[in-house]
Amino acid sequence: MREDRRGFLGLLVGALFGIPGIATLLGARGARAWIDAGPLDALPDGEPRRFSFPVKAGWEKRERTAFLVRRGETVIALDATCTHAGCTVRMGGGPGAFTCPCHGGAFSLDGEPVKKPVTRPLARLETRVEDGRVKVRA
Amino acid sequence: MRSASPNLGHLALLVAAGGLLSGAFLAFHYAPTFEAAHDAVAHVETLALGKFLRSLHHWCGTFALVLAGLHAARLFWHGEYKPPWRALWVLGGCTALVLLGFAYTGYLLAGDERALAGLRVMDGVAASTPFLGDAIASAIRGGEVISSATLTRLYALHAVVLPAALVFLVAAFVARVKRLHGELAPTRDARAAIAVLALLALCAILFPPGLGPEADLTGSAPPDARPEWFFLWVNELLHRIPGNTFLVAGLLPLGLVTLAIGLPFLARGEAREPARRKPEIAVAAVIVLVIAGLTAASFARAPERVEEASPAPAGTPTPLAVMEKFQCARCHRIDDAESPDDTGPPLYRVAADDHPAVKDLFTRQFFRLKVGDPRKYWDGTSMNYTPTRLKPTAAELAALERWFFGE
Repeated sequence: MREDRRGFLGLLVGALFGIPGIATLLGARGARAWIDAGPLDALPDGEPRRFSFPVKAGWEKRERTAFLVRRGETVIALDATCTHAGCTVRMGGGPGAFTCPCHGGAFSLDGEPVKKPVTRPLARLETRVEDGRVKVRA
Repeated sequence: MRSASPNLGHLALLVAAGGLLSGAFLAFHYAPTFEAAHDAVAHVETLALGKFLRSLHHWCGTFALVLAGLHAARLFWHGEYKPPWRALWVLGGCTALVLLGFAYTGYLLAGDERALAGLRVMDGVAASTPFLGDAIASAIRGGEVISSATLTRLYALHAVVLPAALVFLVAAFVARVKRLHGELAPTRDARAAIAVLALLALCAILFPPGLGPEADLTGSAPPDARPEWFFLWVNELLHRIPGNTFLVAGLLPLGLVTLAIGLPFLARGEAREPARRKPEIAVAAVIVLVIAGLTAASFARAPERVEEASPAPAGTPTPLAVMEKFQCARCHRIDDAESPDDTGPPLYRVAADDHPAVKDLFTRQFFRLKVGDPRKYWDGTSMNYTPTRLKPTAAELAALERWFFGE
């Protein structure tokens, strides 16, 4: 009986303080906002445009860079982080549409790998066009 | 033995355990620097159940102190600090000191104005120590002035040293009890424990600790700065007897603590019945009443209104004068002028410019964040207001904002 009570109290304290604690750890990501990236008409077809935007990272604001590529009435957003070693890729400068300054890897306009050491495509951010404006999901 | 009413010491330890658990989770969301602390605490409050977690942690401090105080009062009344309980009384007293340390350092970690005011008082008291004042104060500060180094030291105490001390003291306490009684006293206080935890949760929901404006290391203390409730009596004494900081805020509390912990060695009579220990009970009652009276007086006294020295109306700064002062042109092109070093992007009147993407990104909020405090917006920025490294004042920022948005 005594042991039961002690176990019960432990469980109670664990629940009261542990549940909110774990909730804060799991909830750290927060809601991801749609960011306005300007009107669709401002983007030339088939030509990438650099787009930097602030993102929440914990209590800090960090800058994230993507490339917007318009194809007709749709727009894709490629994360500028190289899939090889994490450097930030640049526009042009090699066989593809994007080149990584660190190891010379290159990506096509669609973010597909075209030159070693890169083997995986650039990550894509969610996009949508709404009332003629491009939105990117942070 | 005493009646079967709940053991308040057990309850205090239960609450302290809750404080350790909630504190461990809060530590995941904290950074002990003045640049980050306030933002980090504000960030926790935006997370799911984060505000509740922080409030629980805050109330654990108060509950543990009150329960420990009541427990000590009861032991004292029954004379249970005398042999064979002498060592237990001393260990319990040290545990209470650790709890006080938790509440005190925790209060200073929030990075808001109240916390900074508290830090300054602590610094002043430490510096008032005769002969060793400078050495003690700089050891606490971790430097010549209060800085993030101070905050980091307090955090190390709060999150590493004091928890270790608490665990050690409780272990020693339990070992001693086992030697005296052969086993731990039966846990017959489950119902009381549930009631205390429920009350704690209720207080946490109804009275969250709140977070004041961010501390400004260069600014003055807010007029209504007050210490936590358990130090209000010292604050009140300082107010009534000015000029004796060390005596009032250093020596007096230290003396009382020594008196309380050393009680078994000071009051050596054999008798345990309260009726035969009238003098010591009278002395204790007077001390408790004086402290309670001072605390009440402090609550009753309206916070002092310090006359704010209004900043001299230096005229509204012109945008170009502000850019001249901060030498923006060293890194940015302003309109069409040349810049020796094109590190930064050209500065143009954003709202008047035909850059839709930039215009939409460059909201006023973004402007105030980025230009008002570049490092805060993005740590990696090389923008540092060379050569002054001073941030623009609100008036200067407003002038720049008008220019940027073409007004």
